[in-house]
Amino acid sequence: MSRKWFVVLALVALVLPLALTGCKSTTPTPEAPKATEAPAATKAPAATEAPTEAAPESPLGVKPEDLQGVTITFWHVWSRGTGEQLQKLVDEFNATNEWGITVVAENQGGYDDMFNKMNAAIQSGELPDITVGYQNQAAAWDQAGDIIADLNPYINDPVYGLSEEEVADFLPIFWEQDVMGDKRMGIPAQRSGQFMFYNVGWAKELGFDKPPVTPEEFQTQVCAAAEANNNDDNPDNDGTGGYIYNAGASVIAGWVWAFGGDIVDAEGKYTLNTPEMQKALEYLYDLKQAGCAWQGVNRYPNPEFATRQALVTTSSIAGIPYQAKAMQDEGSTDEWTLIPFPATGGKPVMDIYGPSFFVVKSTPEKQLASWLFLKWFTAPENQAKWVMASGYFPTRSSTVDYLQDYLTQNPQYAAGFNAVFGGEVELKFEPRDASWNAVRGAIFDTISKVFAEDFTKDQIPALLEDLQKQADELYAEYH
Amino acid sequence: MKRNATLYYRLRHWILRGLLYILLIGGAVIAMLPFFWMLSTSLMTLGEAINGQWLPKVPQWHNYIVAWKEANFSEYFVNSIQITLITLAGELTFSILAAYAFARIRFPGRDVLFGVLLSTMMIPAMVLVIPNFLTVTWLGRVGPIKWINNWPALTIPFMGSVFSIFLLRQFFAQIPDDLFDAAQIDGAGHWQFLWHVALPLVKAPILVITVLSFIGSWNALAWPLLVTNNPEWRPIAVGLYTFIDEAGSELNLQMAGSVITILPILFLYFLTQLQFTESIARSGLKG
Repeated sequence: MSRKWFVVLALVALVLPLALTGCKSTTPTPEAPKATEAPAATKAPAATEAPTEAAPESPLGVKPEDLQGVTITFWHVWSRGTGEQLQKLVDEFNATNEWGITVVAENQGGYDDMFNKMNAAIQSGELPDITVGYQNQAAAWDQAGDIIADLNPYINDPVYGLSEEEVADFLPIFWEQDVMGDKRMGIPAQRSGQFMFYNVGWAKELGFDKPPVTPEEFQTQVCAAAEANNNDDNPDNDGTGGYIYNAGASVIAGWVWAFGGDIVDAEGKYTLNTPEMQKALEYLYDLKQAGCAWQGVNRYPNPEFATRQALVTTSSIAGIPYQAKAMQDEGSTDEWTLIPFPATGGKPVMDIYGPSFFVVKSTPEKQLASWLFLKWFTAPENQAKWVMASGYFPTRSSTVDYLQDYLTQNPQYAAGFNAVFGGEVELKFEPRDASWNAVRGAIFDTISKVFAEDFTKDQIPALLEDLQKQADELYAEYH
Repeated sequence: MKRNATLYYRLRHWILRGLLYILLIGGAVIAMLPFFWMLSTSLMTLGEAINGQWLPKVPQWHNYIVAWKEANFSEYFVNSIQITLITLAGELTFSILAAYAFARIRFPGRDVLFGVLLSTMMIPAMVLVIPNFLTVTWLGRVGPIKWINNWPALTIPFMGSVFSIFLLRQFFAQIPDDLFDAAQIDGAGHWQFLWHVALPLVKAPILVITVLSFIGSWNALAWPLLVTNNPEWRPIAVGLYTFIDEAGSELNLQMAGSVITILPILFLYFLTQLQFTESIARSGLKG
């Protein structure tokens, strides 16, 4: 190896970075904003000569001209189609907002990446102005650094806030999800729901005219489907046909609610060792033992559903396009739809979840600018554009006025939409505690054992005792 | 009798050889299967991919174009090349110098320092993520150039590789002292000895480091996502990530993107295959 070679290498190491620094634009690092409390209502409206005609004054203490030229950074998790639509909406806001606010939207990967990045950013102080995440993630961020601004002063502001009608337009359960104690942590960005995909066409052939409503009906139908596959001429599909189970926390929560239980108590503490939880697990265990439920090979059991290897699978609303594609590619003409989990009494319960927007504490101007963007983004006409790109539920009821064509063209989405917005189901959301992410993992790991070959039904009580202990420990860790 | 024995040994030889080949072919098939699956899936429709088929009915060559465009590979590819070259150049420069010093220069505390350096290999990389992030953020604040969202945060933390120093040091230490003595008699110092004698003898491990460093930089995802906020400096692995969302993944496009992503690594490997294998064999390293 010659000296020349080594010198070249060393020069490349030293010169290339400097050259590249020159090549790329070097946007100065924005200064870490100084965290402030949400502006308090410190200023009473100024007395005027004609109070009845006076325009309301904002107690936030920020004049419209103070917003001119304010740039806010918006960290999000959407890419490709939804990311492009988001950027279009951001561009539209930047071009049309009356205050001269500029929003810079930056994708930060998935929700887990965002969670980790925010945790790191809390330590370094290099935070965005708006972020997206699940409620339990935001609770953890706020717990770690007291960084989330209370949105109540903004929502209630007479100038910049929302009217009572606008607030009432948000689906109450969605709206409620972001309130923790007296603090409004965020506003809902979009929502999804845990549904079941149900093969209507095949069910009719099996003699069932309507989807199952109770666990007993569910069992009858999935067992009939399994029996049909076992008795047909095709040996390859033996052992399939019923329900494809998984031990994900959202699915398990759905089943616990189906049996009338809950996974948290009124204080928000986990209740995982309950008679209802036991009933749910025994039910799933029995289904599996009877050959009416089985574990699919794919993470998303779209192919199994499309090829009649499952009468029912579980999915979120966002899984519809993937299922539709699988049906199309398999050449399946089966009619299929979305149904809620069965219920033992009254309305079926549906697990509703989804990310929210959170404003990070910074300067009064930036916080207000962030709020104004979010207010604009969640307006029905803008939300409709977002829904059509993302396939998620809107958060405001009046968005439906802009979605008529979309609902007609997407019958499965319409079925889910009508269930949620038509009041056909009782909506419940998952725990918002900072420990929920960890508890979700514990639920999956523990409940998976129920479906192991050597597991017996009499082991369920001990398993639940262990699960409760794990959840209690995790809860204590975060409090 | 002798003829029978010869026949027996020949037969045994061919049977054993046959078994060996079956074993090796089996191993090769197992190793190649994921590549075959990746290539095949990259040419499928989404339906074929998620329905777990092995071969596409009609190869979807346009998947590569779609993947390239939708994952913003034009920008990410260039970024990855820049990041990889800077990291590689820095890692080789600093590793060679440090390894040579540890192997050939006697200085107080050398072995203790080397032991401390080696012990850092026991620290899981994940543990270092937040401290490293805080360090690069702070350096960006106090230094003349910004680190976050720029090449320094993506490259400089990886220029000091303990593994590379260790590997090169082992090779430098094997060079006979007589060579150094002879060079010294001819008036050469450490620099001359390193350039003219030592480096030509450690070409193989340098190529190993080149390949491993290249792969490490090229495939990096978690760290680049953490230290970049926009696509300006993001590498190619981030582009691949865009094909996954919470309700499913576009497996066919993801695999087309994967094929595009691994092409430079395959090219480099085939280019350096001989030296790479030789060096692995000599150093006793295992994958």
